[in-house]
Amino acid sequence: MPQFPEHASGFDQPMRFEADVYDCEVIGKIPSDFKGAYVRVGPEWYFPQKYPDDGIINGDGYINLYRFKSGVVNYKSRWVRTPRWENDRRAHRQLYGKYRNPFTDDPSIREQTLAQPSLRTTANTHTLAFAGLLFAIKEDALPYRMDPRTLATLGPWDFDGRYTSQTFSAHNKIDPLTGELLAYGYEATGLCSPDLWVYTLDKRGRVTREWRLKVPHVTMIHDMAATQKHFIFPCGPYVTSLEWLKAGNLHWGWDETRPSLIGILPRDGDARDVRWFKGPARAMIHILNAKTEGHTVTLYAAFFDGAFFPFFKSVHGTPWNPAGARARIRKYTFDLASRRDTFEEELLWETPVQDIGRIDTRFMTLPNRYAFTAYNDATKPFDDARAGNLRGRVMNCYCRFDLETRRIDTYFAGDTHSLGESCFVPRAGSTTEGDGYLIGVASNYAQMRSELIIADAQHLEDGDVARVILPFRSSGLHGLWVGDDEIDFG
Amino acid sequence: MVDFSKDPTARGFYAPERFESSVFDCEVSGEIPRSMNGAFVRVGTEWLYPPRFPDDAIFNADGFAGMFRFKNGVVDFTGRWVRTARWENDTAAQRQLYGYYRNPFTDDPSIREQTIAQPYLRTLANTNIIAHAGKLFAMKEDGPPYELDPRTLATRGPMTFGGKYRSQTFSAHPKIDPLSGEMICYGYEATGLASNDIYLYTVDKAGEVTREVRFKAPYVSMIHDIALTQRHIVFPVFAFTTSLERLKAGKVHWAWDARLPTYVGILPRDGGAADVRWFKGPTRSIVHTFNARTEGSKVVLESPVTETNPFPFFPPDPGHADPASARHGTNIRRHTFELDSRGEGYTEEILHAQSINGLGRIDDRYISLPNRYAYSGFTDPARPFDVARAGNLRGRVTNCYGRFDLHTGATSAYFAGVTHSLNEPVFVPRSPGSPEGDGYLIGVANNLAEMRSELVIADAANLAAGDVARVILPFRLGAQVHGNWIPEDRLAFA
Amino acid sequence: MADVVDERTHARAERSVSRRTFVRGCAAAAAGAAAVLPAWPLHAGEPLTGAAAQPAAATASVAAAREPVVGFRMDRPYLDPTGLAEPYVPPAGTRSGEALAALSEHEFLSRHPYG
Repeated sequence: MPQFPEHASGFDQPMRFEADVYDCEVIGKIPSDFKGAYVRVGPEWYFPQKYPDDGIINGDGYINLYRFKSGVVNYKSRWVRTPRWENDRRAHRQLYGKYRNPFTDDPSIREQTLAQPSLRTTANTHTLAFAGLLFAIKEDALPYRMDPRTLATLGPWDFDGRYTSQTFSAHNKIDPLTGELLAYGYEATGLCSPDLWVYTLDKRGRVTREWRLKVPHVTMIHDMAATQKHFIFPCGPYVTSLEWLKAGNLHWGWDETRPSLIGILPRDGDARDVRWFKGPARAMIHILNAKTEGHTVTLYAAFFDGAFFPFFKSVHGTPWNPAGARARIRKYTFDLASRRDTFEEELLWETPVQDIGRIDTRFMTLPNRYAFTAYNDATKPFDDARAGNLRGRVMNCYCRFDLETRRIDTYFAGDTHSLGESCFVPRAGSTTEGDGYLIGVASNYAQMRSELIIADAQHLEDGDVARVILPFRSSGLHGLWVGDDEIDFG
Repeated sequence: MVDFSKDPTARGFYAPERFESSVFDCEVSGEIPRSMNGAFVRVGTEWLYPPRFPDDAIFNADGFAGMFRFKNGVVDFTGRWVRTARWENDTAAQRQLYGYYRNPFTDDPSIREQTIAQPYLRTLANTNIIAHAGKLFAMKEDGPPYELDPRTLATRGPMTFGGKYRSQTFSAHPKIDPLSGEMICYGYEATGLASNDIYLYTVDKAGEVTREVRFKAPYVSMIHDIALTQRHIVFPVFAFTTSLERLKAGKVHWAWDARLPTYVGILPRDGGAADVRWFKGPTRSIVHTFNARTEGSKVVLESPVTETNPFPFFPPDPGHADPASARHGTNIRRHTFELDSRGEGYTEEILHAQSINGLGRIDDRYISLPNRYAYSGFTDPARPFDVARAGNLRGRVTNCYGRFDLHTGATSAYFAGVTHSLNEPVFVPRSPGSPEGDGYLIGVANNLAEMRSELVIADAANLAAGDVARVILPFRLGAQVHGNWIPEDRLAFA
Repeated sequence: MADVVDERTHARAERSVSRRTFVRGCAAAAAGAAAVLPAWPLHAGEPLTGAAAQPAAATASVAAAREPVVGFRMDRPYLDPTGLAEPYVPPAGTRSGEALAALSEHEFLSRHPYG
């Protein structure tokens, strides 16, 4: 039977349960624009981690959704029943070793997971709604189809056999003009393979193009950007190799001596047309958006000053430095007309932010103005007496950051709350960027529960429009607003 | 949309729950005894929608069932609503349609005509949950029991016993004879609201109704529980009363009336309505019984007994309140009924002065037989309590389980912890043939500081030693009324 | 008197009913059902072991003069309309973030990289 570490108490207790809440408690009134669901995926340990140096991103996949219908909210959460979950359930213990390293698995499964590492996936990172299908995804395998009504796990999906990479990114992008999915998988042919395979799929889910690239060296390509003309692959120096894995490490090591690489591939070109640019070593984990104007590609992203994840240690033995674990909104400019393999980097805002920022996704790949993310405003009060001493490690504000003027509009979550990833929901019938709502799940440390906040994205300073109160904690990493017109939630 | 903000009791640990849940491979501290295979099932109350009246009885909230399934040292937890007709109607309307506890005259007009004519349609099945004849069911004394799927706790529907059970109501406390496997069950107000009809049934171990007896009581009262001996059935009738006039006036079902004496009806198990003998005694509250036995011409009943109104939400009408001199608290008392006597009196003896909380049990293998031990939660104000983390509840929460030796007067106690509040305990035999009291005492403890509930497992013969094991849930459980241990072979568990 | 402040105060939407209006509603409901609880002093000269039951209202007129209070009985809060029950004062907050206070930066970001 599982026994979690003794200090796992309070908000740090494992969650590990599936739940249904019918007709959630709500403060305020749900706007009538909300017809669909907010779907969220994140890691949760089913059985405790086998090795103490492992990280939460190796937790089992956990999906939850807030179904909005006729002003009423129903909540549902389920495990993603991957082969890993099913095997651990049968064994009643943790069989799986370190993050994306099958060499550290239990002997009873190791041969199988070495031969097919995608079988180890936890599908724990993000969700996607595309071609009428709903998915839970991790970048080490194919996406897992989920039943949108029951959240039953339907299994991995390879788009009728035409998606041939073993892996599928958690951050594939939908082109809002065509409805195409712009997708990719790295380590596409197996553990530590240098294969980066890129795809377009039409809005009905059929693969229409494939590019097979080789990367200069194998790195984490967690997210990508796309414009109307280009794919952009940011590769900070998280590196791996079979030797590294055989030595019993977590999948990634940080190599502070290498530059970051950013690959740019023309959407109307071939694989050989990819160009690789170099820049300072940063953890380049999530992006906001990008655009192509003439021969200039501009990328906006909250990349980190240095290394982010403490559990991906330096390959040179250098101690992890928390000062590098700060993400700040930056602008990257690539001049494709020049022969240079460098880019310009500009810091837009000194304040560190939650790197999982978002935009109005109707403007993905297009020139856009606003980035939404969370940050800590240390001047705001925090009530230690009721919420506990979080030592300032809270995201107590959402902001709308104007990428042109650098104006910041702020929503304050209150003195006992910390905010999860934000998500923009368009107002029904609107076409203007940012005309809609900003939603996100807040941790209420005083009441030890989660709350979905809904604010007016154009008037963040006014506070909530409505708030869904859950009777417990809910967890998640990335989420999406999915309308009834995209998915049948029942 | 659901708004509980007007209910000042629904805060903190007691904030609304209203969720169904599944936990696979629950966290456990200590080690689950390998002989514990089966399930601990519990049922209690949770408002699906806020009550219509803020002073309504807590017993008027929807039924919610929970199951801790024990198998080979692994524990899974399932929590589900009991989907009564009432739950379905409220869910469809997305609001509370039902009025006061067991008073359909206060229901929403859209349903009132039907619920007045058929008050048993209002049942919540929120009081007890038992297994008999291969079925699992939850019940409340105002309507039929609801059958639940033992694998998933999905609601199967109201039970009809092949049409032979003719009372509108069932009891939350039928008794199962451990020797014959028969269930003795009954319904009071059997023919309608405030009716003085008691229908009593024997259901054999295959689930077939084999006997029916119909009789009346000296006054209409809450006969919440009965007691069983090998030869007799014992019916406590005590100072709660109701009437159609009261219900039409829009009041909660019961009023306490301290002017009323206690009547205890004793019926031979092979007798008919004419064989009921009513004994009469001073005003008491006998909501639950521990056990009874027949010894020659005497029937002996042992129960947690109170001299005053135990339920503040069933207050007395003006002039009917307990006298100022009335003695408070619940303790274990023995009532002895001499069947050879001519008069209607009986004797009362206090077996343990310790004030207990009244939710107590025995080793159920000894129902109807002479037994030695009673188990109950109680409050020990001398034990430490962490007020800063759990609130000003020192001396008010049930923080101990006691084993009360009914022969010697000895007691032993299990202490749950400095931030814990205990629900009803249940005794689990170590093995089917082990002696009385050889086994485990289990029950749900609410950890008020950590916002979670924990199923504690102690050695029933060594309570002072503390936990043998404890199942740690990742959330709070809602209020519980009763629970039971169901051994592996009694139901088709998952 | 128990603090019955509504802690869900972040929404700008219409506030829940104030205590004053709640009390008025409660009194109106109580008028329909007798809200008088019996007087329960301890029996003189006969101390009870363990916890005694809660004392409650003496008369109807006294009951109407007091605001309802959240008391604690049968291991749960309940609303005493007479206002005479001993108030239940829950902890001001669960301090559930305290568990994270002791974590180093390394531990914190390994377990909660996103808060």
